[in-house]
Amino acid sequence: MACITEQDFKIAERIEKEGKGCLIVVNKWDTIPNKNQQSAVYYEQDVREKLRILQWAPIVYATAISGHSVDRVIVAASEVEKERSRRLSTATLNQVVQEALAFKSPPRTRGGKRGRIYYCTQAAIRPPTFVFFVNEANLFPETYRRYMEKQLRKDAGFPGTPIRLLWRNRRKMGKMDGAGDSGLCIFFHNIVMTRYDVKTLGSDLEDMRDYFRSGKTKDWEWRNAQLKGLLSFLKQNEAQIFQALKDDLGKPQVEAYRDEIGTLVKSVRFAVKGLKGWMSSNGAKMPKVALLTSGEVVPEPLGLVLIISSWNFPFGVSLEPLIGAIAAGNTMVLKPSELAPACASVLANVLPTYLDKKAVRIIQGGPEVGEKLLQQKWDKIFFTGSVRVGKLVMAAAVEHLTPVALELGGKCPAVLDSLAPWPMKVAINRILVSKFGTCGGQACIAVDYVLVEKRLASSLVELMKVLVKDMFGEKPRESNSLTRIISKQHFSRLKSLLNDPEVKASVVHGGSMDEEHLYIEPTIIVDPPLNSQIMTEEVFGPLLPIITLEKIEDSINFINARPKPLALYAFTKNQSFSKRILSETSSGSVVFNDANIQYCADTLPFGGVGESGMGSYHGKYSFDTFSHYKAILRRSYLTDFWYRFPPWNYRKLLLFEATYHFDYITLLLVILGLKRSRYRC
Amino acid sequence: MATTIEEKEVTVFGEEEAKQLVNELRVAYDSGRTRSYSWRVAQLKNILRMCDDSEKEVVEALHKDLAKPELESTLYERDNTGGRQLANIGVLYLMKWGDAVVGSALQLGMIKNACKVALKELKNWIRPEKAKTSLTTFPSSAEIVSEPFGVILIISAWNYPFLLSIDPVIGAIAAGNAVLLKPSELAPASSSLLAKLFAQYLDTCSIKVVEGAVSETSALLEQKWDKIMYTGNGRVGRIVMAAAAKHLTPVIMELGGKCPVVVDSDINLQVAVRRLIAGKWGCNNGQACISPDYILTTKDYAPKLVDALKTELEKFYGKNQLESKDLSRIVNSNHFARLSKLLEDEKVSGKIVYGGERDKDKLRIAPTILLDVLRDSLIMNEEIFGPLLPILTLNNIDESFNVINSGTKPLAAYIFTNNKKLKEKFVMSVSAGGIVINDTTIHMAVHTVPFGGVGESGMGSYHGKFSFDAFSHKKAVVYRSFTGDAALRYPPYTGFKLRMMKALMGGSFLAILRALFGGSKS
Repeated sequence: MACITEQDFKIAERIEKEGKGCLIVVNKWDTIPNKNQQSAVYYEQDVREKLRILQWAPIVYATAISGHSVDRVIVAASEVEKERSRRLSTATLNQVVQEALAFKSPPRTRGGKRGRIYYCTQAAIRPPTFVFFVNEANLFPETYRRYMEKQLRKDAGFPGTPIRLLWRNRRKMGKMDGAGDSGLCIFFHNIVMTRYDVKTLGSDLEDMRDYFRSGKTKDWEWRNAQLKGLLSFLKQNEAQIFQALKDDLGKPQVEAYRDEIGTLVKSVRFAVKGLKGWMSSNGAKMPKVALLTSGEVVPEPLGLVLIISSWNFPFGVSLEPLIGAIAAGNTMVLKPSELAPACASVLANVLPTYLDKKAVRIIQGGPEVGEKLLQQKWDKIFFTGSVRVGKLVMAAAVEHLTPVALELGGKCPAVLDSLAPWPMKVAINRILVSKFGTCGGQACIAVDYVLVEKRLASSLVELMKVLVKDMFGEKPRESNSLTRIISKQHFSRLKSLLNDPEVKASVVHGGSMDEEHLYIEPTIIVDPPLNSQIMTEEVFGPLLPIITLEKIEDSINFINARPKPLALYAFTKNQSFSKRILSETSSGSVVFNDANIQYCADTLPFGGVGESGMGSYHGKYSFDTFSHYKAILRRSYLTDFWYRFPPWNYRKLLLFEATYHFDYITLLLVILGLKRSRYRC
Repeated sequence: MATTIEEKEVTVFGEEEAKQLVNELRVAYDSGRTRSYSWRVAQLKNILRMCDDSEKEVVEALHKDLAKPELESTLYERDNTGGRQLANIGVLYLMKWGDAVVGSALQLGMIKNACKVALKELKNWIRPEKAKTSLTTFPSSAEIVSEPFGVILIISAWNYPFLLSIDPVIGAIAAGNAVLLKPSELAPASSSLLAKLFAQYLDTCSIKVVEGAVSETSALLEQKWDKIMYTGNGRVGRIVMAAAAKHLTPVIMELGGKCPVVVDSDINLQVAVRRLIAGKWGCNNGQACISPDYILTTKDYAPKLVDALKTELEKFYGKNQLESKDLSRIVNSNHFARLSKLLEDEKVSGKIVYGGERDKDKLRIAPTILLDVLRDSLIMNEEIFGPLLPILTLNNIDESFNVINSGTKPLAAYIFTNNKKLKEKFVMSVSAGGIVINDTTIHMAVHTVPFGGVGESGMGSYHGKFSFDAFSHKKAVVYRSFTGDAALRYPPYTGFKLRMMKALMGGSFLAILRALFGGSKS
């Protein structure tokens, strides 16, 4: 039965090294004579012995020639693939790590020093990669690392895929706003992972439904108090919010204030001010024939709503919809993104102390918690994130026919017409701050690429280089004004965008990267191939492609040939061109001569169309998103048309017809018997 | 009829064909013709003309479709949740009075009315809405532009094939979209008439009709649409939404529900009962999604209410109600069986206080009233969709709110009362698509209020301007000039910029001054 060859071993090594998933298929199983239960056990022992490196790979016995068990191979392979792309929530992961630590602590060195694990997070999938933030990586010997891997596998599985454990030193914190401090510095003591037990989810949600039924959340007083609570949260915890944003994203304070705290404070105030007016009903005009009837449209809360937010504006895109859900009088669950753990922790641990805990619940967790949440029944789901997950959210909403609002992204173009020197400078500044100065381009409304006429391209690039330097200095790496990339996974995505040889050749500015600190320099690329990834997927990072066109009017066709973006920016003084852009293209919003500012306008609906999402929010639109507009008609007992009631005849039919047409003269004529029915009686 | 069906089956409509059709529509839409005001007006006027010209044909088609028992039996074999198929009836009071004339007149009447409203208001609807701008974005101006979504799919129901097809089409056209209509295959004559009329009267490049059944519908659903509107039942609604999720297409769903009526004791009983009867039995014999499903009233008042109902029913429909030609029959035998089962449920035995007569051959059930029905009986756990009216009795009228709110959200809820407090409480605490006080079903005919469900009864609403909005994307547009640029927006970021920004966004001029002159603490 000896069958594992040197060749097999080599392949196994290679598999492990490359991080590929693996499934061991034992073929020609039918040729084994007199096989019984034991033979499989013996054989497995042999394989495991010889391929120790692939301990984790499942074994399937099959006979290809007769097709026996071949289907099981497919099933097992897809299982392996699933495991390879599985993601553990930071909460679960740290639970496992804590248990492992409690069972066996890292060895002490001669000097009495002991390794400490602060925090662990899954940085990537395919293969699952876990980063351990520790005091000193060299305090963890190979044996302990293997122990940790074993524990992880024991508790969290991952059969069929290698897993990677990376051990990282935690750096000392720099100055608060100090230039160049590590993007990876995390205030570990701040992060409290409240592990949510999904088992109690059902009953928790039922409690929230009961609370909603009690009608408490419908009162103006309650809504007002919650909004005020939100305001106090924002004001009293400013420093903590700044810090959390710094920890997760390295977000500069000005950006944090401009895009998150400041905008939120403004939005809450707007809601507080508008609340009474929003809550009141609107009268509806009635036709004259509906005598003594009054109509109105009354907004009512939907009930229990779910808000799933993203990591790029962890407070902004969590609380902006929350304001609407509160203002509309709902009970709600918010799931902040697990990729911004410090911010999620502030939201989960600090925010609830300012709000009615029976009506607002914040649940931390990764995709598996999100999945559990999506299986529940909601009255509305509000999702901010990617197109891929957006589709999953909508598919999950089908079961209970739940309405959804999806805030997705898209490649937002900036059309740059030829301008006089000074407006040109203003325009470029506005483009640059949208691209590099808004969460490092990791914003759904950030400029994705620039469209410009060929003849202007070279002067544009030169001007851009100068202005980028004005903003971020000679060494942007050391600037305190640049947000870092959120995660390793996103970093490698951006890296691969840039590593396309043809794209690389078109870089005209920047392009340097620092993987350890997740930093990418503001990068300008001129005319990358249109079929390269950077021009087919949302960039979502500090890479700015410039596409040159013969004539700026061609931009309309260029934009229309692609999915509808969330925003379109056009810098032009040409009125007729503006008109054409407005009427011939489709996008969530259009801004002329600026970028991003539509986000902070309370009077405008913010939302996408087509691929960039559905439903809108901000200001009163947030309130509307979480409200059902109920039609109300009130009748008095005094007037009634006899022809409403059976027994029917053609005269009544004619009267109906006249009523529906609001044809009062015919009505009168028929009543007086002066007009005959067109229908044969 | 049979031959045309066979012919249709010969020409296969698969995914390729669907794809091509959508492409054609997209080309037409991209050409920009549907966006022009004149195109929209011309199409709406053509619909008006179409309704005027084709009255006779509509009558014939309805007669063919609705008077054929063999059609109706096959139809429910395919769809066992048939009750909901009947959902969303657009016509009040006078449905199916044994004669298609009435149905056609009323459907066409409502369609024409919707057209006229759209034509009259279209200019106002299209006009961009100005929006205020704030200090943060100063100087700027902003507006909200209604732009068409693009290519719309409308799947309508068979029971009121003309109204439920053309009414949404009017909204889609008014908003400037290209439209594909899929009328129900279960009303083949109406379906082919719609196809014929649309081809004859409307712009065939931008407005198309596809006839067909499940396979055609699935082929259509595979395509990418910019919005889908579906009228029908929750089961198919889920299939439609699942297909829409693949392309992230927004959907409007018009579904059904169990509509309650609360009857208080301080009312003008005769008027209330007449209105109740008009909504229940005068509305296609209860086979309408907005017709009252059950009554909630107090124990003391129930006998009076039952007596009044009996008296008025006899006035309207005579002694022999099983034979009354003013009552519609049950739509088919499956449906008849379902309703019979509701009546035969052990839990309601002895509860029937009026009616209950059935005639299986003629598919007729007389108006039936059941008193003191328990909440766990069969009849209270599904949409009745027929001439049975259970009355639930309560000790106190306030208990009715709990009963209603413990079920799924209905498409409509009705209350008869003169008690102001109770009215307000009803409006505030009962969640339903629409609410009518002291009447039933009339909100359907008022185009100034939105018509649509909530929760299980649907999502999205239409009628009047709401139809226009349903098929428009509200695009936010901001106009900025190059002046008025504040350096504080741009990096490098400093403490001063932060203070200044806080002051500006806070909107306090004092704080701005403090920040400017350095009086503020960091």
